[in-house]
Parts: sequence; structure tokens; C-alpha cells
Amino acid sequence: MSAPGVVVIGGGQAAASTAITLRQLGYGASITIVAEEESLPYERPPLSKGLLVDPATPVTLFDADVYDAQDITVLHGVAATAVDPLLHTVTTSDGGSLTYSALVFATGSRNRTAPWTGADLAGVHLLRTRADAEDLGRELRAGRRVVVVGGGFVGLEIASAAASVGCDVTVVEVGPQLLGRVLSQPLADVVADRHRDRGVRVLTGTRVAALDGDDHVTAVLTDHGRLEADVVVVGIGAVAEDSLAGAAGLKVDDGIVVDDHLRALGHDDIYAVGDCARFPESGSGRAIRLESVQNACDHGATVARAIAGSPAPYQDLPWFWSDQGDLKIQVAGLRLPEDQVHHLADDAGRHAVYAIREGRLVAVETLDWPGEHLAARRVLAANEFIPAAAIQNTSLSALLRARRSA
Amino acid sequence: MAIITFTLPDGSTRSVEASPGISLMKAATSNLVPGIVAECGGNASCATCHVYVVSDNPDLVCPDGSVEDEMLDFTAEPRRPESRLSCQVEITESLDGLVVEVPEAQV
Repeated sequence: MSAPGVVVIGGGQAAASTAITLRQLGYGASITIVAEEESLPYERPPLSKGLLVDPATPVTLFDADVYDAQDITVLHGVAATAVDPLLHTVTTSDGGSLTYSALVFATGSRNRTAPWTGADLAGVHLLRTRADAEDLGRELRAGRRVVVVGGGFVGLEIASAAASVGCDVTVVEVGPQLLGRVLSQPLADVVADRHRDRGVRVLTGTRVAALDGDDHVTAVLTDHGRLEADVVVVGIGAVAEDSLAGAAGLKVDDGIVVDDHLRALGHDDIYAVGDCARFPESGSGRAIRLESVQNACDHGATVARAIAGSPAPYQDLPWFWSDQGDLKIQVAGLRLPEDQVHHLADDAGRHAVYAIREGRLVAVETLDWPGEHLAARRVLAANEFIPAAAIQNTSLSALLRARRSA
Repeated sequence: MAIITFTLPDGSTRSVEASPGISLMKAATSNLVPGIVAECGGNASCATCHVYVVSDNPDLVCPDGSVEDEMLDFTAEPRRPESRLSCQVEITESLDGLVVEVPEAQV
């Protein structure tokens, strides 16, 4: 029997990043990915965008021959059912048991389910997996009335995809603005107007009471009236998939609580990466959990380096993007609700919102302005002090260009 | 098939076989070429697949005014005339023998 190596629980992008980076670093022991889904690890961002309108959109991260060539075992359709941190074993649903020298939880998150009567009717969709996206994509046909509950990134991406194929689309958001968790109000209001310009009905401050229908959904009942619907998509957020870790005695709090090296508290050989990890924000130490592909990839790479012998604290700058039809939203850094914001718009319809904390730039949100997003990533990742006054009358990209030519 | 050779920051090289139609980024990542991160999966959203394309083929110059063009101004390693986001370069048979330099840093 070979020496125990790395076991990764979960088969998403964070799992693939961990395994592939380990091999790139020359890690020589065994690597096993325990993937509950039947498919090889795939990219999730296209599920709410391109894949909905074109089922042929490629999403698989690496073909099977890559895992074979790298001697990475992927157990498909197999769930981890128990972890014993003392014995260093993982029990699996196929009756097997794996011994590890390092264990990585990459269990992701699961959708918050709809709490309303009628949520189990046919025609009501949640989106998490590739199969969910394929099911939903088949339903999005011209003339169909689609109600999207939840005005976050995923909901608006789905709304854009549905509108692009000729559906009659309504977005229902309970909060006072769209994208309340991820965007400042000034930029969220611009985004709402752009969606309205494209024919999407956007209802903020509207609470769903129930879903109506006999077998198939026919309407969404809200505190502002009844919305007829052929298809309902519920995108109201996610919670960490941390139950297995909790059952194994690890500390969980909507996420597996880890230290700045992404190690589970009190366990030097257990890590958590991606959506399922609650980790200290670099600098502030605030415990945060992020659902983004950047977080998944960079967590995986950080843990791979630690296991391969070069541990270092996780300090990567968080960033996010969302393509909604022809709208490109990008965010660099994490804004807090109490931060001041400064909104800049130019004649070309590009927007940037700068979040300022204690006189210092901490995050930048952009709409259709990728150069400004990249400029923000440069200065924020380098921890550069940009005083609020420096960007009062100009953009960061203009500032960096001027500095270069000076 | 086109053979693409990546020159890595440490001076070593990696040659890979790439099928026409896929992106230069995918050709790199599916062969585990280090230094091409490609977090956004080829969406021109992240600029973590920056490369220098060693070629005088005019088809390989970044289109003026594109999203790619804008992002290349702020990549981690300085932009050069031969800079590209590899997710925006499509492999064709005519690229057989292409040499691509991978920069020191992406993010």
C-alpha cells in the first residue's frame, strides 16, 4: 500500500486548483478527489451565463487524460460520509475508506432553499450544478414569462440570459436595491436602469409570499401583487456546505473556521478552501467567507503550496466579476457598508465607485471599465496608499498612466 | 495540430500540442504550463493569462480599443507590443511553431 497522500473532499474549482497546483509543485504522493457529482471538475461561472443559452459551452476544467497523466484519482459520484481526524481517515459512500496525510475540505456551498409555499412546484428552479443549468436552459424560450427571485449576481446573470433569448423577464428583490451584498447603491442603481433599458422588469423592495400553481408554477405572489410566471428561478444566496466538517468535530460557523494559513483550527493537517472556508481577511483579521472563483482558485493554490512545503498566509486580494448580457461588472477589494463612496462616470457610459475607509481607497467597483478594474487590482494588491483626494477628479487608470509618463 | 512552445521565467521551455479552435490559454492550462493562471476561464475578465507572443504575424497583434487592449495596460508585468491575453488568441494551424513567453507574475 502506498503512503497516504492528499484527500480532497469536493469536486469543484477549488478542488481542481488544489490538486493541479500540488502536481505543478512536484508533490509526489497520492492525490484523491472525492467528487459527489458525476462530472469532472468544471467551471461554475458559465452556468449562469453562456451555458444557459448555449449548452455546448465548454466548462470542463481539465479532461480525464490530464488527471490520468498527473496521477490524480477522481472518485466520481462518491460522497465522503465521515471524517476521523484522529485516525486520518475519510469514509466514502461506496463503502471505502481513504487514509490521508493532509485533508482538504473543498465542499463548496449549497443554495438557500425557497421558504415559500409552492417552492416544490414544477417549473421552479435553483441553480448550482451543471445539470441544474442544463435543465433551466431548456426552459428559457422566447415568449416565456420568467420570474427571477433574488437580485444578486447570479439572479441578474440568469435574467440577462433569459432576456437575450426573448423571455419576458421580471426580477424580484426584497432589498431596497439590487446587488445589496456586492455593490454600492450608486452603481447598483445604474445597473438596475441598464436592465430596465433592456426590457427587464426590476422590482426592488418586493417580498415574495408564495408561489402559485397546481402541479406547475403559474404565478409568484408578492406583497406588491401577482406576477404570472411560466418559469421561476430562485437565487437567494447560499450557505456553506460544512456539515461533514462539523460532524468531524471541526469548528464551523456558516463555513469551516480556518486560520490565516487556511488550516482548520487545532488541526495542522486539515484545510478548507473556497466557498466552504471562513477565513481571516488579510489585514483586518475579520472572519469572512467568499463565494467566488478567485477565492476558490487562490485558496487551492495557497493550500497546495503549504502541503508541498512552502506554507504562507493567504493574502490575495478578493475580486469578482459578473457579465450580465453586455454589462461587465467587476469588483476589486471588499467594501463595508459604512465606507464612504465616490462615484465617477464618464461620457462613454463607464462607471467606477471608489470605497474609502479612513481616507484610504479600499475597494473599487466598475461597470464596463475593465482597465479601471485592473488598475484598482494593481494598487490594492500592492497595498498602495491611495488617498481619497487623489481620485476626487480623475480615475485610477488615468492616475497610473500619468505616473508612468511622468 | 499546432506545436506551441512556452518559455518560462526560469528560462526553461515547454512544448505542447494544441488543437485548432481552442484558445492559447486553454492550450497552456490543459498542459499545466505554470504561470498562466486564467482564473476567469477565458472571459477577458481577470488578465491572469498575460503572455508575450514572439511573432511578427500581424494577426497576433491585440485589437486596438478592445477590452483586452484596455486590460493589458495594467497587467502585473509591464505591457510590451507583443503582449496578449492568451484567452483571446485562437489556435490555428498557422500558429504551428509559435513561441510564447510567460511573464514572471500574473496577479
